[in-house]
Amino acid sequence: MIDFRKNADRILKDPVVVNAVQRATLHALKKREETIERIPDFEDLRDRARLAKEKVIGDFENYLKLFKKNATENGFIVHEAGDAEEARNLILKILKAHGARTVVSSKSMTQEEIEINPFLESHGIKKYETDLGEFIVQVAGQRPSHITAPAIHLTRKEIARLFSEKLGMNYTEDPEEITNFARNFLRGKYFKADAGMSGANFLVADTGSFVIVENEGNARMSTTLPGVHIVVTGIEKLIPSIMDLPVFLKILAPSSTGQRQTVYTSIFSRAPEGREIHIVLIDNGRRRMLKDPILREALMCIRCGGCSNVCPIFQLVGGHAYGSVYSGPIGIIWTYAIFGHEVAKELPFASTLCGACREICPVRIDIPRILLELRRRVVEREGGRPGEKILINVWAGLMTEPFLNKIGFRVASKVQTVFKKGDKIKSLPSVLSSWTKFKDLEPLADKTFRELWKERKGS
Amino acid sequence: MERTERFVKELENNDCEVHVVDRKSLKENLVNYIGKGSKVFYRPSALIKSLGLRDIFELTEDFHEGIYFGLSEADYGIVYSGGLVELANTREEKLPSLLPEVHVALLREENIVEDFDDLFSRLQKPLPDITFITGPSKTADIEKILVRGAHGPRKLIVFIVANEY
Ligand code: SF4
Repeated sequence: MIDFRKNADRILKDPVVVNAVQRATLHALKKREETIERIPDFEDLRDRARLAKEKVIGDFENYLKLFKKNATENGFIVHEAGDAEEARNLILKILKAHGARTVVSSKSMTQEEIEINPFLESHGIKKYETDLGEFIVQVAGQRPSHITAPAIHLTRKEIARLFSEKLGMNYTEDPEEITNFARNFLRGKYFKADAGMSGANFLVADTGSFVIVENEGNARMSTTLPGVHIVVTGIEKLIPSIMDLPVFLKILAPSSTGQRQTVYTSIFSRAPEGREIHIVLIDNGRRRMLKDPILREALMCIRCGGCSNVCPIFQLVGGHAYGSVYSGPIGIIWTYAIFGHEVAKELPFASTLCGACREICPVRIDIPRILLELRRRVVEREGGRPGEKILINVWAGLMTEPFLNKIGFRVASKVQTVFKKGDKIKSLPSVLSSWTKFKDLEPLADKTFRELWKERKGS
Repeated sequence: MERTERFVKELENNDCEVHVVDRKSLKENLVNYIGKGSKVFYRPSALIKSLGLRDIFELTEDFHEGIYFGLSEADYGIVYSGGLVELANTREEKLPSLLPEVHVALLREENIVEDFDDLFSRLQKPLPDITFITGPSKTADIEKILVRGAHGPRKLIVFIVANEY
């Protein structure tokens, strides 16, 4: 089981990490706001993106079939993997067929989900992460702590030491020089690698294309230079049409890093002659989500990281506390859906249900509603005691009455006071007992998140 | 043209250096910028071929480390994103805008379009590979400090070739 409280306790003892995470998340939010100011139809774009995703979810198998047909006509070799193990074996088989010993790879959450790196390593294949943040984290033997800033928990001093010890860099703490060292190091790998791997941000059904967005150019390198390219992607990345793509490109970067657009967007629609491009489509629990009336909405996620940036819990503890490749509010849901109840049963309580995630989500996923449902399921399966059930019901009551949302947290904070005094609190599945430790946890205070957010921006 | 002005502004917002030149002075501008005798890794296009650059630069379609300049003609410019669009049918065509230290891009003014939709509605199936480029390669992965030239070009220079009337 992922022990969120223990992880969080550990992280909270490290002021450097806490500080870095807070700075990174608030910085992205500020940039987002500035960028959106210049996109007058942003709300409309969100609706259109949501609609396009609803179309896919509503008729999933047909869109997937259409994508596979078109992708195959484009010359791509399409594979499907039911679970992580099948995916790993498929990828290994392709790599072996090309005699691959080294692989360069751009960022892909799905690759991390199926834990491909240790598997390939155990078969004698070295895979280099080429996104700078991912590369740093890989050299450090760690896990990314933020979706768009994977190495945010490390200081330049730590990175300098790491690179000089493990890669023989001449010690420097200058970010530009460190970046340059990594650039040169990885340049050597791109040209020598036997295969390139990547994820995909979007799969376009009506053209059979896949789309990758990035800032560094490492994805362009990894997908272009080696002789064979393997795309590893979840089946939920589908969008209906290339004409929908502009809408998604217009909401993704602003919601993510706060840029108007990322530096590079690559749309692949053909396999040049003599070159193999494989697309490995991964289910690994996604069809199960699709059949679940509550969880299916989470499949619309475009992984912008916005909900993490705005989440008061994430801002405090960062991605590592979630103990999973998927962190932040939506990450809780994905972790529960993909890795299961036993692994993730504590996570649904690592939220204040303040609703900020729902407000920021570019595809308007009702994250609090899903978290609440997961809490209900956890309590049901764990055989919650009466006190817990009452509490869950209180939360449920608050959250399903939209008009109460604004004042909800003041009410909630009162509820908290009541329960804090009673002895029932001890048996609660971390829902409040952990929060009482986080003294500065805001949304359960007397103000709503919005009010606090306004104040914070003002200061 | 008003659209061009807006496009230039967006490009500059995206950290590009932009020059609007007329067709006659394009060659001279390139020579001044790149420098006579320089090695240039390029993607051929009708416009580039018509300039007669062979006697000025050492043009090559084969990259090797140490080539400083990449030269290509972008197929479109998009005002909305302040970016360039490169269409490619082979992977070699994608490399001059990616591998060198500095990417020099040419763009004919008539190929500036307002928005993504204008581009997609012009393209026909089967689609070529499409790359949107909005600025030099970037990272902020170390303490959120912006560094240019993470993996690709450290600089993007755009020469917009003005329409002739
Ligand atoms: S749930 Fe919404 S806000 Fe969160 S990462 Fe996904 S798309 Fe972004």
